Amino acid sequence: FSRTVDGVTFRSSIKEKTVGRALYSQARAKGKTAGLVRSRSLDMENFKTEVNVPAGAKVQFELQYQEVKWRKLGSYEHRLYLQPGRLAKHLEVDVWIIEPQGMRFLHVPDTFDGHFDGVPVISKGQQKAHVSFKPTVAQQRICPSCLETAVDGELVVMYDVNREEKVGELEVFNGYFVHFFAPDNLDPIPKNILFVIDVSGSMWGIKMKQTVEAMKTILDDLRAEDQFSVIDFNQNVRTWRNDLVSATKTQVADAKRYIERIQPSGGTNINEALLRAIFILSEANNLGMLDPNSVSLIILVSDGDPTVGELKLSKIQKNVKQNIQDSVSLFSLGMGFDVDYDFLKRLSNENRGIAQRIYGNQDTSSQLKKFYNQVSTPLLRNVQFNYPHPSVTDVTQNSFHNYFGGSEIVVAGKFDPNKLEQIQSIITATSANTELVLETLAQMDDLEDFLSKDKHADPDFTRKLWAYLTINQLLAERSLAPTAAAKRRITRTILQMSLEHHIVTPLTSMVIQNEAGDERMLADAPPQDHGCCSGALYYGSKVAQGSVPSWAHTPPVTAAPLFAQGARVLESTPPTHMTTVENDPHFIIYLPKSQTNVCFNIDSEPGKILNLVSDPESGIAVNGQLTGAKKPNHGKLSTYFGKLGFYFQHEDLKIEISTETITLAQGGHTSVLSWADTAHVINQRVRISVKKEKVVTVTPDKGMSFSVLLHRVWKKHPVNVDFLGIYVPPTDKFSPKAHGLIGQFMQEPKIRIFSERPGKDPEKPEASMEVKGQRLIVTRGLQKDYRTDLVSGTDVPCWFVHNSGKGFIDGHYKDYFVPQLSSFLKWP
Amino acid sequence: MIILIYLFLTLWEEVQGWGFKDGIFHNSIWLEQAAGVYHREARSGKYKLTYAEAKVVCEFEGGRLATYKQLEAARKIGFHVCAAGWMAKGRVGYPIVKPGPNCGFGKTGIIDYGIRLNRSERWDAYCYNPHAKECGGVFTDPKRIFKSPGFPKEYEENQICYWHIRLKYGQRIHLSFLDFDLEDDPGCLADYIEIYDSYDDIHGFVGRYCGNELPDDFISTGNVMTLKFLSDASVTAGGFQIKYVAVEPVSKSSQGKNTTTSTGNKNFLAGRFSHI
Repeated sequence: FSRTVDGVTFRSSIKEKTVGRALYSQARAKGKTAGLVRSRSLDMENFKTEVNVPAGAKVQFELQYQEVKWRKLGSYEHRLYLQPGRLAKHLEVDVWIIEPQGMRFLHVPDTFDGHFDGVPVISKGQQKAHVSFKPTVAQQRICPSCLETAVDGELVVMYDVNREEKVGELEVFNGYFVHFFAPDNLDPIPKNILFVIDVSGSMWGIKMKQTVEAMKTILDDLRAEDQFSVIDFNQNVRTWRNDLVSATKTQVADAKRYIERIQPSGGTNINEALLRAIFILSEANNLGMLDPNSVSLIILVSDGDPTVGELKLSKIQKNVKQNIQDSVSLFSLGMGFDVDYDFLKRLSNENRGIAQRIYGNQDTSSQLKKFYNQVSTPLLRNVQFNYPHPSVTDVTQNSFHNYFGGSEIVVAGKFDPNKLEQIQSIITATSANTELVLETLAQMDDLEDFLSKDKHADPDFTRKLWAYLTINQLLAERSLAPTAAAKRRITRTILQMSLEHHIVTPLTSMVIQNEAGDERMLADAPPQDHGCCSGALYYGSKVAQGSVPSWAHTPPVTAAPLFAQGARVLESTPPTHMTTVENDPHFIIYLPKSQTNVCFNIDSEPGKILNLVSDPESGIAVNGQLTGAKKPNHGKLSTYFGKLGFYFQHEDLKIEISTETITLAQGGHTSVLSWADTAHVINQRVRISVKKEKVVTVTPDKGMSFSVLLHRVWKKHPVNVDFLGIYVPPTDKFSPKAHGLIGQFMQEPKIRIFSERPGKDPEKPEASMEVKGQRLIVTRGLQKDYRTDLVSGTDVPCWFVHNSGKGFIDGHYKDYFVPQLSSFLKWP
Repeated sequence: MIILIYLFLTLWEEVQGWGFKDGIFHNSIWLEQAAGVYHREARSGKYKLTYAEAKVVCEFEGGRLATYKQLEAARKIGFHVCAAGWMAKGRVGYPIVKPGPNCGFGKTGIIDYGIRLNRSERWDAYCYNPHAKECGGVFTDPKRIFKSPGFPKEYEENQICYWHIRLKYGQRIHLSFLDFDLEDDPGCLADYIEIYDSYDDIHGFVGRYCGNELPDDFISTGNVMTLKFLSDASVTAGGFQIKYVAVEPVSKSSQGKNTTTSTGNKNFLAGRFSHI
């Protein structure tokens, strides 16, 4: 904040509150220019200043502040309150946005009833955008001859960043990192949800009407796999159903009718209502009625303090906390202004939820829906962030009960840049159908470079965001501190941090003074309760680092980078022989007993699906779908595997790997992984690991695995396309019934290669091969294995069978066409 | 002079905003309990209680049937229920604040069915129980002393108390602290009391207090005030006693003078903060 009065500039500094106050009173007593800035939040920050201005002086205010934008319902929103009160000769608002990840969209909704249609000018680049709002005096007028201004409201800018490709973004600078986590491509986790609605007399009128209206859409939005019930209470507690029921159309319709019939009256028995909700959930859980992989939520809608039953608020808190299972989150909506909101807030915060105040007016229904939408789509449970390197310290809350779609989790920490050039993070979580481990490596040079190039960017934001998160969490911890000494200790830390990082907190004031130090202003933080993470949807906790599940065994990175630049090494040891399909599909069949590689090509058409493995006994099918090159080369259109499908029948798990994504489908749920992340997933004993942009390994069982290599080509290459290669190590885990282009060789056929002789091409000798009772002429050739060198590959010598493997494979290659990526082969 | 006009405007605005009419507080929020009076119906629904049963319902919650006078006092501050219920002495009626076609025949006041001869008639109940809560509440008396829970003993941990003072239109509230001892804490982050010069705890923030220094007296700008007391999970202290008295409006001719001299100094900040 700075202010210029008659050319004298006042600058601000953060002082301990009492010091600030004293300085301010001094200045004021002397009759000097003095001002008081206050911020107060009612969904907005409000700075009010009171200034003694010498007559005729010109005052210029410049307020510079930073605030954290929390992602809500899939976007970031910046609201600017514009209330000039009169026509302004020059009114200009400029919003510059800089996002290293790039912006997915930017939108300025009409908040002035169409009056300023087309006035905000948006220019949007890849990573930067600018919104300019500059209405002329004529445009400001309510009507052409009016003197009143139409500028009375808020300018809203909404945007979201690109994150299709990556679920997490680690931004690192100068010893601090900030980790943004907002995955979207996941199936919602089924929820068990209990709506506990206050229908006491005080809800009468518009509040009840709006609640009913909101509840009707909320119930319609439930998914078929969700379970729910409705509890309404006044002095008595009633239930629509005594236990949870599935959200089928008929049940939802019935619940809606039930809610419509509610006539509010009587008192408020919050205690009994919540205990009933908790009981219903516990019973369902004890009887095994809840999907073990589901999320349980209680949503309390109430406008008041209890008037019936247990009235002591601290006792109600205790009762709820004692009885609620620690898998249940309690969210509270406080209706109206005169609600005892602090009670609802404490109640929710100590039971893994948050509270929100809903202002009782015409807008109530949409406020309710908006809040519900934020928690209606749980995508992950038990989300934990780990930063395995010991030089990472002071990590903020890193364990979260749930992650809801559309929102964002932010974790920050410190590290020693001398010991660590890169930050590795491991996120573990449970999605609708899988255990997930995601790894990210931070790239810090790019960010530094990018931010230093723009005058609006603050390269130091990682440090400030870390400090902000830490202070907020300390404030929350403090209110639960068991002793006075503990409180004092936390207070000291907070104070020290706010002074050091220039953050206005309840313990500090901002003092603004001129160069000479004899004229001052003072700013206080809003007297808000920092019980929770102000604005964030999450109330997390801290857990010790290094609690990564053992199956995700990922070695921590050392100071040396994991991958040397340029050399793309996937496996450090020389590869063992494997059965492989690569390129336009070249098959290499490794026959371990005869220590021989036999290869063949299959040329077919794009779109066709070839069966590679079909083992009905062990319930495994592997198929590959061909994709064509962009155009024919030398008169021939090459085909490659563009998609590979794995079907594990016993586990009801389908995995589809394309050059874009990795999709897991199981029991009606799908999750999508991206090639852009390093991740591990365990689903029904099947382990899937993705190594960023390189390889996916599917391990259904001990002693059996499939690796899929990603071949990326230059995007603008005139002919070539991205494609996949598959590698199968020798295994005896398939049944004798296994078939398919690869599967038939799992039971190794007897082959004999003899009378090696020079061929037409002296480099490529010929030989005869006896196999499956046939005699074939084979040619010595070289094929490529790309596991150690993804670009040029390693040569694998093999005996090449002509005519699409005719004679070597059973039947004709066309016999291996199947209709779907999950089909088994029907061998005649 | 400028301050004078400003203050006046603020007052007027707030009155409009809070919907005061004929000295009765009209708000979209209907009080479910006012001046210790509340409405009860049987678990089985509306109009299911005999006189004897109604008595039991109120007594079960530690109260008794409300008298006509008590019900009227509650109605005056916004208690509105569209259901007839038993009062003390076998009387039946219901309080109407906002006239409507479906309720109270378009009239306001206590719709009085008189003292019933047949005590087995089935109605709802109006109970009176002013001391049900250990702290907080809505006060409408012209003066009163209220205390932290348990005073003069120390208050407990994890307390939350809201006091809403709502006086007659035109009256203002003079608040003074008689005793004050809350856990001392920089920034008053631990235990504190907050004063709001408004109907709720969002608008009109006056100040947050803790420690053991008596806060200054405070006079409201309007006829309502909200106080809240919160204590955290550890360390308690002696608590507090607070007194308020209604300040009667001065006669019209002298209003300008008196009001501004008394508020000009004291309530300068309050006026400013009342509408955000």
